[in-house]
Amino acid sequence: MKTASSGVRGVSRARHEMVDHVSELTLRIRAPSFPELLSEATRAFGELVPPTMRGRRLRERQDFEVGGIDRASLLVQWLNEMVYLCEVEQWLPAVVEEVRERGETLWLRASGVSLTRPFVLVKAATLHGARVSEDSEGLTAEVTLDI
Amino acid sequence: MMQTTEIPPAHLAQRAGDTLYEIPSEARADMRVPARIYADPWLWEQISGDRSLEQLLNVATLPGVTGAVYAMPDVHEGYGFPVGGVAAFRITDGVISPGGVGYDINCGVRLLATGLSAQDLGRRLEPLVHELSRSIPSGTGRGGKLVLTDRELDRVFTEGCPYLVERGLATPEDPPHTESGGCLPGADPGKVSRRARDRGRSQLGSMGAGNHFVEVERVAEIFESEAATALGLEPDQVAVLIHTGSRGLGHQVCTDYVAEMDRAMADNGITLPDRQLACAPFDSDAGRDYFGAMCAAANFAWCNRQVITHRVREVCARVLAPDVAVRLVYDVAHNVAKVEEHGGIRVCVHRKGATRAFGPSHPETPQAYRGVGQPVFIPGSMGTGSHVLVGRDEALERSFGSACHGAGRRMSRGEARRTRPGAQVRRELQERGVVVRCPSMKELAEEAPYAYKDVDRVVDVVHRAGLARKVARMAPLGVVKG
Repeated sequence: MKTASSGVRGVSRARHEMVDHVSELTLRIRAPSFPELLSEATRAFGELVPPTMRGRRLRERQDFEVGGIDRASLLVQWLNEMVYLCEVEQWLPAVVEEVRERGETLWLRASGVSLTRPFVLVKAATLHGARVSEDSEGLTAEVTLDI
Repeated sequence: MMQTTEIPPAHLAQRAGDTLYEIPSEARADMRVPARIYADPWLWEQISGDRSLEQLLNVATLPGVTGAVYAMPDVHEGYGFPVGGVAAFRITDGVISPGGVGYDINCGVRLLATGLSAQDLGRRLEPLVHELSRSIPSGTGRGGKLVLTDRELDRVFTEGCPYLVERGLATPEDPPHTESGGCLPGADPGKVSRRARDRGRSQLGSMGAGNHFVEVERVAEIFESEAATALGLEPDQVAVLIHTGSRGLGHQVCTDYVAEMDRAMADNGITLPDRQLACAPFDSDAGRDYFGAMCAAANFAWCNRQVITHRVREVCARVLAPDVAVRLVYDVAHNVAKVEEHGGIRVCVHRKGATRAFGPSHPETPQAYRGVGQPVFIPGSMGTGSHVLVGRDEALERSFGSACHGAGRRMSRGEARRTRPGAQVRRELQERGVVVRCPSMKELAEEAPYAYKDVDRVVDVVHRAGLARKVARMAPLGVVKG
């Protein structure tokens, strides 16, 4: 289990931890807001990519749009977008710069780093136990990654 | 989320036989059929320790489920469906669930028998394993040597292994020795997304990472000589076991359709205890679309193992002898949904981490093995040995003609890494005469033998339960890890 923090811009109170189970990893995130939660999820996913595979400089900025019926599925779909980008485009989103949530659609702008080869460790982000809940201190999310 | 009982599922079970536990359908208000679990008391303790029983009961709530839901003795917790679960749904009013197949569609195992004994192999073992590791892409990120155009991918999707005969990557004898002839007929390339194609395009003939492998084996023990002879296996023979699936293509097909069905659950009026069980009526647009895409991915997986077979043959010809025989014994899927007839009803059987095990008289048992039973291969952990079995006719009644698929993990990857470093695992395997090639020490540590259940015990339960008969046990000589 390890924890770290990040934010859409500047320092954030967002935190995450990875808990490994028999055949998967569960990502748990705490963040003050949904954009910061997505940013933290992005950072957490990036930690799974070996540093030797990652380029040092942020490459170009890209815009993304994912759909889902609630925040849990939006988070899962964003992580699945990252799975695809890392495997096919060899590009790892590293910094989420802007997030817009419109009903069942999520729009993100991210900059990232190129990868030296496709990253295929994570097969998918699953809906198994996926949740995003809110309390007075912010948001808590949990997503299971199939590896 | 639907309310579920607070009593642990294991406490609801009754011992129903030497190797069978049953949880009646009355155990939970939302269950439609009972749950049956094949295990001995030791494995039952292991199985009761995670959420696999709860997940099995969740499967028993799905619309159109028929007979019973089954857990094989290697069952462990998965996403939605447990890994090692079997369930059948009526075609007329039942569902199909991508989560019931899993992300690695048609992950499976094939066994190649060589014309050499371990003694014949002698000092050529290390060069053989080394060349296999150089010729078969493995590990995180390495694709295959073939890059397919869309038209070629479509032919892989619709024609499966027989297409590779035309390409010179399979012999005419290979498809008849593959489950379903290496081609499910329902494939619909139009239902495979652009993203899935992109992920799979360069991965044909590659192993991938995780628990996938190519192992050089020695037939260490024969339990039933008549069946072994029918399969062309004899003591001390060198064989090659291949374990991989549909790679990123299959993962993306599952991702695409879980998302689509999740969005449509409310429209279909289905309430689920776990969203990863997202499903659609088999006889619906979404159900048909997923089935068409899943069949395409399954055919891709059979072709993947076939291309690896071709590479193994090339390596054997180069390292051992140009005319060395490398014959395909059989190839079985252990993550797939298939339309079959059971008890006079057409059903869609979901086997997730479970192997089809049809008996000697089943019409789909390949001609070469009629009277013997369909071969079933159960890999153990690297270093412990694997098993060859044949299906029994009685399995149709007992598990929709299914058996287990492996030893089943008992430790997380992290726990395995913390238990011993990869270098030590490699040294221990080498001390036992096992040659190992692995992309990284970290992955080697994750797949260490102690991270898995005892495969001998799992196979013994399957044998005693009358699902399949033990034919032979193989011991590893060399391991190429994914």
